[in-house]
Amino acid sequence: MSDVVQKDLAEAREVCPTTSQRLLKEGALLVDVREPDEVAQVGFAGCEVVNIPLSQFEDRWQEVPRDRDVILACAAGVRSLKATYFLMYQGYTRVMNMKPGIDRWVQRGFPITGSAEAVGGSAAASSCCGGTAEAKPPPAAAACVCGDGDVTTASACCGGAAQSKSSCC
Amino acid sequence: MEIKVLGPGCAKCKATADLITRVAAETGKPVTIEKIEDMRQIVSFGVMTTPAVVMGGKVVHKGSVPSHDQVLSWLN
Repeated sequence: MSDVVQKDLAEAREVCPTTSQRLLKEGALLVDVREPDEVAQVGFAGCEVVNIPLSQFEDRWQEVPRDRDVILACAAGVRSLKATYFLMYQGYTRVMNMKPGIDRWVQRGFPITGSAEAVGGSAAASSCCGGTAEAKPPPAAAACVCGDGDVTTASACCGGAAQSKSSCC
Repeated sequence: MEIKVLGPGCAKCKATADLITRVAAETGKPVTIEKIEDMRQIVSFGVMTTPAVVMGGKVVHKGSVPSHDQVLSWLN
């Protein structure tokens, strides 16, 4: 089918919705990889966002700019992590994954289109980077626990988001 | 012959590995199948859709369970 070059991919940078908000205000682009029917129910708003469904991502990844920060997002951060790694495979360096995704975004009261009732995540989850049925958190993020507005553990929050200096989650 | 089956461990991935094992047995070809289930490793082959099959440095198939004839052609 095709010659393949296996590449050693570094661990993807992951950012929580709150950190994402800051980065988006600073000019990052949000790429929502959820499918159109999901986006129609509830979508990200208040920022520059494009929708490239994961099912079309292999054909449309070139639409993602290389010269600015890009945050990939989905419902809980699993599909978008796959897309993040795919872009890293393609040589992108300014990409990061929002974890969790729109479920937590909605819980935080950030701007949306559609209905907040459409999100499927567990509102009861209190730990950052987890709390959804989509997948368990990766080891790097498993230890992070962030309360609302509590910055005491920000350095450990959301894996690669440790570089961020603002409050997390 | 080393064959890698890329996929998150779903039923289709298992079916792909089982099919390759079965066809290899039918043809008497010695194969070693390595299942790669970690997402980062899967995408490190440039693959988004699974199951995928890597043979001899090439992604020979992705996105579905291959057919018996396809597997046969890879082994011959």
